[in-house]
Amino acid sequence: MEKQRVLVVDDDREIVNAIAINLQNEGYEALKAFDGLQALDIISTQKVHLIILDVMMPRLDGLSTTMKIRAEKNIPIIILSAKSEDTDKILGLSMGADDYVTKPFNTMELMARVKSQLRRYMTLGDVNVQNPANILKTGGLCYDLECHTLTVEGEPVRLTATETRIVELLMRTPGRIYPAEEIYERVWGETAYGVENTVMVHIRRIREKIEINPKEPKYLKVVWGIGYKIEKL
Amino acid sequence: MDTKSKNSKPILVWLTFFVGLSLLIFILFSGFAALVHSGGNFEILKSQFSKDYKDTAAFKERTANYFHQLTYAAAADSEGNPNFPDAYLGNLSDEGDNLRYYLVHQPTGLTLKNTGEEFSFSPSSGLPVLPAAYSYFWYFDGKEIQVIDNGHPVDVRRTDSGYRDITRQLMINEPDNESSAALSNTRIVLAIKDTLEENPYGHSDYYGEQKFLYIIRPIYGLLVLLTIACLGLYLFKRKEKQRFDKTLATWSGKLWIEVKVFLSFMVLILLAWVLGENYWLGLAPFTPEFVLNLLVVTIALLMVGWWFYLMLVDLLVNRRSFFSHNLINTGLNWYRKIESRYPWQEAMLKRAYFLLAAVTGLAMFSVFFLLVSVGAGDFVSFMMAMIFAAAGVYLIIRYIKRYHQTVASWGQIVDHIDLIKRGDFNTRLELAEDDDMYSAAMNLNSIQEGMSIAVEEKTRSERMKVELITNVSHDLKTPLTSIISYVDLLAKEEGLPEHVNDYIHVLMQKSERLKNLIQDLFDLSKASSDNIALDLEELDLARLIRQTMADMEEQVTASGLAFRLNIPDQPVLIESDGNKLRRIWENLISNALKYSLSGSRVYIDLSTTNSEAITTIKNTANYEMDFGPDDILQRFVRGDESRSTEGSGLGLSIAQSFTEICRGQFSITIDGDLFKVELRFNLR
Repeated sequence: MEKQRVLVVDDDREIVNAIAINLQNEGYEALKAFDGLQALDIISTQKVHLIILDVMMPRLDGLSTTMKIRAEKNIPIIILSAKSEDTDKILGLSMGADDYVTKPFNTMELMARVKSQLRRYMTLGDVNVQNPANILKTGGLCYDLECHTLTVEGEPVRLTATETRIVELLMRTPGRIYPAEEIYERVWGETAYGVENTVMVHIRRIREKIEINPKEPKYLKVVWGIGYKIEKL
Repeated sequence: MDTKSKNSKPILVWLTFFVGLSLLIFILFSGFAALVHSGGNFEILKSQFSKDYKDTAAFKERTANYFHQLTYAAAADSEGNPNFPDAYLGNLSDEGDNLRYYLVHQPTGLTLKNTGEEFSFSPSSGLPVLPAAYSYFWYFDGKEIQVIDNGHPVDVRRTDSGYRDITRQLMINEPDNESSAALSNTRIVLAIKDTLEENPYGHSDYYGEQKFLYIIRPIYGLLVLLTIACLGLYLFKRKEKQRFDKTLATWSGKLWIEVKVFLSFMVLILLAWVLGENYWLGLAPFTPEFVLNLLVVTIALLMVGWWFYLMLVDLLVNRRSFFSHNLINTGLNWYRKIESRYPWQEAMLKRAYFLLAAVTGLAMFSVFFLLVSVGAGDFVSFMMAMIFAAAGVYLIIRYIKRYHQTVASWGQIVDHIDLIKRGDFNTRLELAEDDDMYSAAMNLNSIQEGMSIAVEEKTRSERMKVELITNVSHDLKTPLTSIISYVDLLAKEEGLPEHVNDYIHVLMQKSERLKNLIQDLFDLSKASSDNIALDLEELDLARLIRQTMADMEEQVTASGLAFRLNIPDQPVLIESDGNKLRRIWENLISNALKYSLSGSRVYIDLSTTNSEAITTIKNTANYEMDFGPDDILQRFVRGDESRSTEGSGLGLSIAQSFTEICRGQFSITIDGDLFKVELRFNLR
């Protein structure tokens, strides 16, 4: 099987090299570019499966590069930036990026995100089209109502019975915020009293199983002072 | 031509205008007087310009006047007896040789004459026979006057002869005249010498008048030329004259209107007096008397005319100030100058007292003069009473208007303060310079300007601060990224000696800490520069604390500390940013975990008042807190000076900044070993 190609773009050569080494260790072929124009050049001449792109670069910055790539291609793009504000993340994602990683990043986390994006791009690229009625889907999360199984970016996740019920409840209406009491009453079927801790423990465990970085969850979020939700993506 | 005329001074142009117009009036007035004299008879008027003095009306009138005196002398005795007194004939004797007169009363043979020569009458014509040099004579034969000029009788009844009106005025020339009847037996002869000369023993009016006429006619001609020249020059340079009009107006503008009115009355009185002196404008034109009379009347008229011209110019140029520059206003300005030395409130009071005093004084004067006028029926006193009353009323009106203005200005200032409060730093408050609130308004303007500058400075420095934070943060994070990445690669190397792996472990730990430190620093800087976006929603503070506790359960359990939560079961709703609040509580709980005496208890309380939610976290310190609550909030200050523990030392500072951003109050109390943080938020 042909090696998957990942293009790394950053004006800091050491960072590019470090990421490239990690990618090669993971079994990918790494291509390097040091500004936006070089990146566009490589994309137009070679086949690339994923791009890791810095925002602040000379000649053509990351956001503009993202827009130019998106105008033609559907390659997954992970933005790498020193800007950690929510507004920066939202801007990057709205430009067409698929993921946003802040510097300094954790290598393992970055690799996990690369893997996740590639898997979605290579194998599930066309799942978006068909959405059977018994499958609940939000972002990379798919919950099968019949088999009671959850997959993240196509990868099956092993959940306990309680965790499965919690996920099913939250997946039925993504974006809706459930207070701990409601979750408890509907999952455990008992009157809720002082259950915040119990629910939170389960939420944390689910998060560890489905999130790449549980501290900055993508799917399962705590709405502080209100409740819990699965993000509608 | 005159190239310098462009630079001619306005005053010179004005003077040409003045002289030209004055002369024009004088000349026109002369012409008018001459016309009046001649009764519209152009022949008579023309005769005045005759080369021969004897053809002029002046000569004929003077001769008639002398003849009139002779008839008087002849008819002096009321009983019909002539006594021919010399006393009537002084003027005639002054003429010396220039005339010969002869009176004879035929019944008595009484005669009066000014020479030793005998008079005889021609037997054929009955006319007197005169010496050769006297070819012009008047002869009264007892019935009528005949004028013989060089042997030819003149028809005095013809209007174009120039004698008709003159001889008709004489008492003897009408047949039914009583005097004429009384003189029927008298013969009168008045002969004039052909060449008039000065009398060495007296003053000849004939000679003087003849000479004067010869001189005055060219002078009039010159005056006409001068008038044309002056007015021409003026018309050519009208603008310059107008400029000087303005100069004049500024001069006359300095006079109070009272003075102007007084002077106007004075010039009018002068004119009335001059005209009332019965200056007879019927004199023969261009005789010395005529010119003198004319001069006096014209000068009086011109004075009046020019005075009112000046007033008109003053009025047109100065407009309102023509009236407003009056004694009262000058007094008020003078008063205002004194007033400005006092503080505002004192000046306002003093003004009210002054008004009271002045109005009382004026009212007293008014009443006094009114009583006098009633008692004496005196119109002048009544006028005085009215003037004082009017002055009093004027003062009151001025005061009220001023008060209105001041109140309006107050309003403007109040509005302006409101405007500034709402953040408008550009609109300026404009008040008149003499306004009572002027200095207050100016001060307000400068305060506003100062605020505007301060706000601008603040905005700029804040923008720079944010840029600096962003740039520094980026510049710190980039090398750190490399460090972390390569340390990570190193850690994956196989077969390294044990002590190298230990070194790598230290590097990993410290770089991780550096990463957290930078992020904290960045958050804190952003928070303290008020450049953080709030995501406000209604949330339950009690639930939030429970969630945070549950989220940190592992660390809490590991610490071995007992947490005592005293939080109500019912929701405590506030409007705030959940993520920020979580960060605050995470930092506070972390702080308690790090610095609590092992085995001690940490208390978290939440209570509510009517308007506030009060939360506290109390713990017993595991070290001696020899600092104040303010010191601990200093950035990078940590409980232990050795700085051996984890953490950036920014936790409490971030908690404080975030609390303030979320519009809460943050306070720290230290009581012995008890460390207490209290947060207050407004309830929804």
